[in-house]
Amino acid sequence: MTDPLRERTAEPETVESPAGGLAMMGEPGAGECVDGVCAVPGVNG
Amino acid sequence: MSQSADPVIRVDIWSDVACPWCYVGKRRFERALATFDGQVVVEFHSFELAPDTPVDFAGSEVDFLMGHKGMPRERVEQMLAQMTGLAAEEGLAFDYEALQHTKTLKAHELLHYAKTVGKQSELKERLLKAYFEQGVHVGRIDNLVALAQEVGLDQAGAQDALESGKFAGAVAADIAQARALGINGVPFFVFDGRVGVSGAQSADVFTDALERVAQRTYDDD
Repeated sequence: MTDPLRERTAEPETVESPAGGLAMMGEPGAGECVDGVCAVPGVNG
Repeated sequence: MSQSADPVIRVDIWSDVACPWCYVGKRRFERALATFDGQVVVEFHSFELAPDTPVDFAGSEVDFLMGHKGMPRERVEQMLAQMTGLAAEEGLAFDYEALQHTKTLKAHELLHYAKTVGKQSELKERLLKAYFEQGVHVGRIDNLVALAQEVGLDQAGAQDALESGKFAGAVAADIAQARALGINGVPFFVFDGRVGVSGAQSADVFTDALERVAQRTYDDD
């Protein structure tokens, strides 16, 4: 059985951004508007 | 060093007024803030998603995405319907039929003016609501001044800020800083200049980012 507290406090996965040196968190490309177009899940280009 | 004083976490948010995910992301971020036990200061930064948009675009949001972005009507209508549903989940009532697509440069200039008098957060919320829920044309100076007054900004000050264009440089500087950070899309959140979150991620992701930065802040003391 997993320990919810341990899961909650575990270090989140991060990746380095290609520029700016930021440690990135979250799903890449999710909920984002780029160049005037805001992609939404479930709508294919 | 002692941990007696709570560290203040700084969150810089790049976003546009004409950005549905920015409004949705703002709500999700606010949910994370509401449950976070710490001090956070937030500053919004300018990002123009479609700087080539005319102030008085003659057409609907569907027309804009079809004409300017070359997307087929069916896909655009699907996108807007889906986005409206996602916004509703956050308690937002998007009205794409009433929405008036426009250039957002002046709205950003007003946000910079509002920052100088401590009203940026209130104005950001008011502009997003006006644009997405109330069909207000936020590219026109008269409308912007009226919205500014609603959040307690001085009418003459707002008018002067917009007519003089004296905050245009600040808008350009924000956009240049975004490019330097590798930001190509919005919303984009930077926590204490170290951790980035791109997009309207879940409130849990924002909470994780806040907690991670808070922990690092203590560790650094």
